[in-house]
Amino acid sequence: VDSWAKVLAILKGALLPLVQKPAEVELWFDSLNSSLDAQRLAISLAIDLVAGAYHDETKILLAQVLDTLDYFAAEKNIEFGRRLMECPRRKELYCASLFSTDEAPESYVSVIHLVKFIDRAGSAFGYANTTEDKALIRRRYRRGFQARALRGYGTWWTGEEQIVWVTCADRFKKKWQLSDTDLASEVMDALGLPTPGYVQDGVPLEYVAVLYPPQFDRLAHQPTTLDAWWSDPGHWYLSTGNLDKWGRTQSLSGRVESQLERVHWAFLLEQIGAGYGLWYLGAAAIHRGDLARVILGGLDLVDRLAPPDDTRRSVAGH
Amino acid sequence: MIQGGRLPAIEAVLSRLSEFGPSNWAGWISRFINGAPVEPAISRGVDPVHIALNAIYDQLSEPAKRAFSDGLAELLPSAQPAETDPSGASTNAARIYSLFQVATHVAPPQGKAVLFSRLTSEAMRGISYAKWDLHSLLLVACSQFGVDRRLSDYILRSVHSIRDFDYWVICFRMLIKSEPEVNPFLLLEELLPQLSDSDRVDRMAEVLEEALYRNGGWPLLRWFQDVAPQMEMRSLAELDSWGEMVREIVPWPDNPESADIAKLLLAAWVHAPFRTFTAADVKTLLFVLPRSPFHEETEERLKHVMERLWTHGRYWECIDGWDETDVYNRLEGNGDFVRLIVLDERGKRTDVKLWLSDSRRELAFLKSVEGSLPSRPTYRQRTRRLSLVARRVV
Repeated sequence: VDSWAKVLAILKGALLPLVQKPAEVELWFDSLNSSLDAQRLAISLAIDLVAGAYHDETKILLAQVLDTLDYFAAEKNIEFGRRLMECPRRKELYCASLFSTDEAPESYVSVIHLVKFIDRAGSAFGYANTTEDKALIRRRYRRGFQARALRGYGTWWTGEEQIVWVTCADRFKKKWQLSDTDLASEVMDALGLPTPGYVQDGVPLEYVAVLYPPQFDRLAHQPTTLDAWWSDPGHWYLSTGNLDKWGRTQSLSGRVESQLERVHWAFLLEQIGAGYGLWYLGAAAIHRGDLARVILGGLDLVDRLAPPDDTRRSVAGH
Repeated sequence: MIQGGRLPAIEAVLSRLSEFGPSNWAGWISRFINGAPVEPAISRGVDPVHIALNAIYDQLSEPAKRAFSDGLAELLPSAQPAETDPSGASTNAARIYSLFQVATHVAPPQGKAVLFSRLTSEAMRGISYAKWDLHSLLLVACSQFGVDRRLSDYILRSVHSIRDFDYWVICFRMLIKSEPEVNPFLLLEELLPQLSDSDRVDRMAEVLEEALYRNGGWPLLRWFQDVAPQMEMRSLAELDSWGEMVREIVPWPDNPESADIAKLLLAAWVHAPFRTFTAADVKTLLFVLPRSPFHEETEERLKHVMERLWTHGRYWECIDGWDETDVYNRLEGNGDFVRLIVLDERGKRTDVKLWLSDSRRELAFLKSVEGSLPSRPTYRQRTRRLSLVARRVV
């Protein structure tokens, strides 16, 4: 059984018994080799299923999403992403992984765009996306290549974002705290951060790292396919097996060590005290990544997670 | 056109948008903000609308930016609060919020009048979205055209009617950008009594640091010397915590000789009651006079600083270099200098020589300051008295 066939076997074995339109969904599964992004979607779902990341109820909801698809839409992953977002119970599919923990002895870091930080936290000071305010934040939070406490911000507005992606603070600091060259590009590469659909190649993106307080004890999950964004190209998410309750990022270039990742719920108005810190990372150049390499890595992982004879039985019976 | 579910590449979208005139932009931006289908289509993911619009604007050519800006200005009159829902919230707050955020980024010249008119009519008061009070956001948008006299007058007026700490902090930040005659620290009259919790203290510390970075130390020094004494007379308790905050942000510099003059004087002022000042420190303070381009004001501010040092027991005294009665002159030799002696709060002496050839102005200044200070026993009188006491004890 080749790796792709194994992916399809896992998807079909786990999900066709749950859908209302098995014939259409099966054909749709078979068409997922139409693009690299669609393959990435299929492989990620297969990894989640074979690793046992989903509760039965999550699989039922996922099957309901599959029943709503336009099976003939050209871009399979975009169609899936759209239907996933339209799912009336979408919220239940975020942070759905059974691999979760409320302990974070290594603490967390969330890397976001500078303008998004201003948008989320700027109201307490009247910060906006202006040349002056961006310069102020660069100057204030770039000192000494380490985080400075976020003092006086009060609350944090997360808008439409339901979840926050975080990485391991200990590893992040060890790797980059002493670095002073092209930090943002390397971080963007290692974390596989996507370029927004409204930004063209070559436009520099500025990044900041939000460091969490050590006592952060909110439940955080290993990410799954259902946490990732599928409605645009240029994303790099790939699921991971059941290892250590951490997902693994996909380096854009393939040359930077993969980092750990988790997701936790975003709260519309989150309290951020001085225990949080901010570190200005700089502006990143756009990477043109090699998605085929990510796909090969994913197929390899499927091979390791699901022995050939066992594929259908293990996921169907989960 | 959406092709098979996938949006056209951003390069193609920007190329088409670059051909838009102002009214095309007005329609496109309006629909994009409302979440309606737009042509050409573009994906913003889950990012806020204004973040995408601002990024699109940044990627346009200069002529296309002007068209975007004019189109945005056409839309701004529509930023009117609509009816309220049962909870009392305006039903179009999200739209107004997005428009103001983009206006803040773009600062469309054609939209300045309508923004200012909305501000002074205070039509957005009480409406909030995304943690922003929309009146405050509008103030930030207006300040992008520069904080002129008209705007600073409005700010100073409005703080009396809008009794809200969050608004005042933003007003303070906007006044930092105003003309030098307007001192943003005048708002401390309103702000200081509100420093009731650590979050507010932290916020003020951040804006204070910004104000000092942007405008230097003069405005705060002027406030401390001219305004704070009146507040001290009213025994405002928060003055102490404010002073503590300023001391933290303005430490005594490591290299005072090369420090910014206003910040050095400010540091001397706020640290005077707490820090031990040596003769070398006092000499450094005196020598800001030849360094300063603003002689009159520097002299006046320095005079107040010296008086404050004296008031807090940091006494100094000048001894002629030819005075044989001074033991140090006898030990180290005489000369054309004045020995500046400074006693710390425990009476410990430090001294430094000021050569007459290059210190005449500073010594004259010191003499003029001494004239206005209450007299106290001289160093020699004190040491003589102490030695008499010691002899009696023996």
